[in-house]
Amino acid sequence: MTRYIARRILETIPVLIGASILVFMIVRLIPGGPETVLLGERASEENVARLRENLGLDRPLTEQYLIYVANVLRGDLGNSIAGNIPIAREFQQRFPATVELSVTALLISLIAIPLGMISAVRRGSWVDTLTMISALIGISMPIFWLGLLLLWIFGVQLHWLPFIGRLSNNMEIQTITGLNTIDALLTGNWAGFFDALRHLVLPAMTLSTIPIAITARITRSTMLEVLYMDYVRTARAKGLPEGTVIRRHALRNALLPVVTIFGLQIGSLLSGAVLTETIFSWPGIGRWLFNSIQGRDYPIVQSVTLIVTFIFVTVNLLIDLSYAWLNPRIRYE
Amino acid sequence: MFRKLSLLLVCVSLVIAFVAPAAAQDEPVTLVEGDLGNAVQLYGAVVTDGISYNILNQGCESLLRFTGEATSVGPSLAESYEGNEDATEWTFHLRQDVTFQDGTPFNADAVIFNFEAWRFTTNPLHFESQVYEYYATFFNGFDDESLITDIEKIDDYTVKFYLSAPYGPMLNALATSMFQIHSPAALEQYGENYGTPEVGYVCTGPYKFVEWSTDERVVLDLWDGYWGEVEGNVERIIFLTIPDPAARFLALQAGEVDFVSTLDPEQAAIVKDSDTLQLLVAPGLQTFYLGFNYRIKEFNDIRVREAISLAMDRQIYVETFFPPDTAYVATTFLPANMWGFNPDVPAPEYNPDKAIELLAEAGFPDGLSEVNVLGLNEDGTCCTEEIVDTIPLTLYWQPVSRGYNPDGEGAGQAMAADLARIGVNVTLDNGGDWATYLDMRRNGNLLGLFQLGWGADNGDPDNFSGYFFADCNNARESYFNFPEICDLLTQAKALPMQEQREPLYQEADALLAETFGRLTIAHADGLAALSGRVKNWFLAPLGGNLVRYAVIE
Repeated sequence: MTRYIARRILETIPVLIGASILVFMIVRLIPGGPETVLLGERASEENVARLRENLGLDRPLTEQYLIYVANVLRGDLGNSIAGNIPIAREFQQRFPATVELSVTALLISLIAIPLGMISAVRRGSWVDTLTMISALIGISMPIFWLGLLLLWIFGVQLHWLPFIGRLSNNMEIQTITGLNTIDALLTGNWAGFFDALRHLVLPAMTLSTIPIAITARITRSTMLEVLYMDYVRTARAKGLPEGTVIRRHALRNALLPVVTIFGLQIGSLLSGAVLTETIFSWPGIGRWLFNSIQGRDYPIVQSVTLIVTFIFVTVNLLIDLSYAWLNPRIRYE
Repeated sequence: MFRKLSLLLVCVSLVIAFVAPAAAQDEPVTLVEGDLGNAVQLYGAVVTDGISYNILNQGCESLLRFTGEATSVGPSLAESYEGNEDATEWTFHLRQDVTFQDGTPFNADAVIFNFEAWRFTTNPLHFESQVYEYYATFFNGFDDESLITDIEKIDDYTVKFYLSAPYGPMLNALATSMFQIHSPAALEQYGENYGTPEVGYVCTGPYKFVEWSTDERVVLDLWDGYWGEVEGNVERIIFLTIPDPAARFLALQAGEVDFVSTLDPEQAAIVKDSDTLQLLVAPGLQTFYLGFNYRIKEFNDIRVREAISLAMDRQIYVETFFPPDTAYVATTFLPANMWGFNPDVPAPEYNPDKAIELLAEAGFPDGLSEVNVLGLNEDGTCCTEEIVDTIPLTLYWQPVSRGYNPDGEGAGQAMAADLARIGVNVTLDNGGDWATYLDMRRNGNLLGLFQLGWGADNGDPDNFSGYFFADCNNARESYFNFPEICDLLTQAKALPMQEQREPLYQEADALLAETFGRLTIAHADGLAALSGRVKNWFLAPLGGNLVRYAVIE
């Protein structure tokens, strides 16, 4: 097991190097540089040239890359080109916002497991049909449309829920972890807790639709396979109650592919949800990265992509390790 | 039992979370503005974006300011000023009752300190990572190239600017947000980080910086040490970043924000019909145009350019792509409410039949779908006689919405349809995104027809026509090369008096229209929406939407 983990960790090194080279090259292949965006329509040739020189963009690509890598190895992610903001500090501020939203969306999407399970157990019933139609709609519906619809109904028409940012303008929460709900609880700030929770509802619901739909469908299909396996028949023949058969024998075995899908979703959600973060003005990583690509802010794109790649690889490793817990027959050699 | 209790607790929490509004607190009178993006840096000398300037305008001041709803210039931190006869020396008498928000005094030293940091590339506060774009543009460059050759301290509250040559737009330039005076102590203390979210700004205006969380909000509070009078009652301004235009407009309708600028036609129509919102209109200082790239051989024939102009039904574009009554067909490059406007230039004609005749006369009886690209000279100017490529005729439409062109794609499609009627078939393209579009423009690579526009920075025509056409045959302006126009604009810039300069701008605009050198399409007003609870506020033509006047009921 230890050797397996060590090997997997070592394997992340070439992945990170590859990702850094790819991103470094790709952002520079896109026409238009940061100087164009920063100086806008009014840019003069002289100032464009001066800024390119000052930013080191006139140097050979290999030299630029080596400088970047050397800085990263020293723990210096650099500053943004627009506004000169330290990237590491900005990441620390934004990552909790993404984590809070992603984790809430994932918690909501856990509802998909019982839904998929019930659908499989009651295959062909109205519950099954309703769940699967809902799942189909959930997968098909564009996120930006759903987000705006929820925002219009619950925010504008009913005035039930706020839809801009993470907190109301008049609310303050002392920062400890950066997760507003947790920080509010830790400091006993109940008004802050409920305010943060209310701000989370609409974006988390929007973000959870696709994970719910995918997970429900996967759970249902794998459960259907497992329910016809010999060991399930044996369990029933032994006289175990149906609930125990389904929960302990069928569901646990059916969860392996579900966990894989879940893991991929954790990885992608933690990388930021551009559309949801944009619609609900959520100051997370996805929107930051997207804006930085549009603004050709090379240092942000490079550094954040590198961190996100690392997160993605780490989450996948953890998911792989969880297989052994779910299915003791799996051994890592 | 425990599980049931947990379930109950979760349900109760959810119900409370849904229905309980945030606890009301004793709040200052607050105005909330919704912006589509973040400020870049709260230091006017080193940025070029409107969001940064809009925030800075609430708390920072220049020596002069644009007066109210006009583009004329009046006193601000300088309470009076005078120039010599040829306008190469300007003396400014500074207010004596002003301090910066950090308590340090505003005086002649502070003015000189700021201008020297911008001008001298060797100044320790002139950083390589920052570009002082407007200083270089307005004052001709840095160090010895600078038009401002010296600033003399006459006494603690008098400074004298020396210029190397007469410069007509001097006073207008000094009134812009780019040359607001910041606290020397703060500039020295924070260095390169001045103006970043951790630091903000330290100026002399009525609102001081409190907080900036990028992608969330900027907060400013009323400052009780302000030297002037604050006419309104707003005690706090919050600039929320709401990147999605639809969500931002819904936030306005839901009452979560009080003010949003730049509206699309549909949003403007909704605001106009609303009982709870107000539509604010600023006199238009914006021009939407269609450019020709002169590397295209065919565009060097005036008959082809005129034919394209005749094919354009500008009135339809104005009625379709702009909110009602907020734009008009452009006869000249300068808008009608700017000095230098030439009222004698006739409105552009719409006549497709005549356009077809002209095209035939120019040698294209079957229309035009492909065009020839000419080679560049060794010095990068246009053009050699050699045809280096033959390409489909392309019309580039702007991939971003701007006040002067709210719907680039729609306008592009309408233009393409009009051109098709005279046999000119264009391929529509937007370059990919805005950065790419700007890059292509800068390098002269928008090879075809292209949409662009301009909004005034300082109300001086040099900052309008002069920016585009004073320098002939460069890549950024797609090798526009009409020396007579370029000479007129260069001369106008160097004259000190408005009466001397105005005829030259008028003549240049008339020539531009006669030669169809660039096709002006529309002039647009600035638009914004305001909550009905906010009174006594107006949109200034040069973007100074000053909250100090606003009264919240």
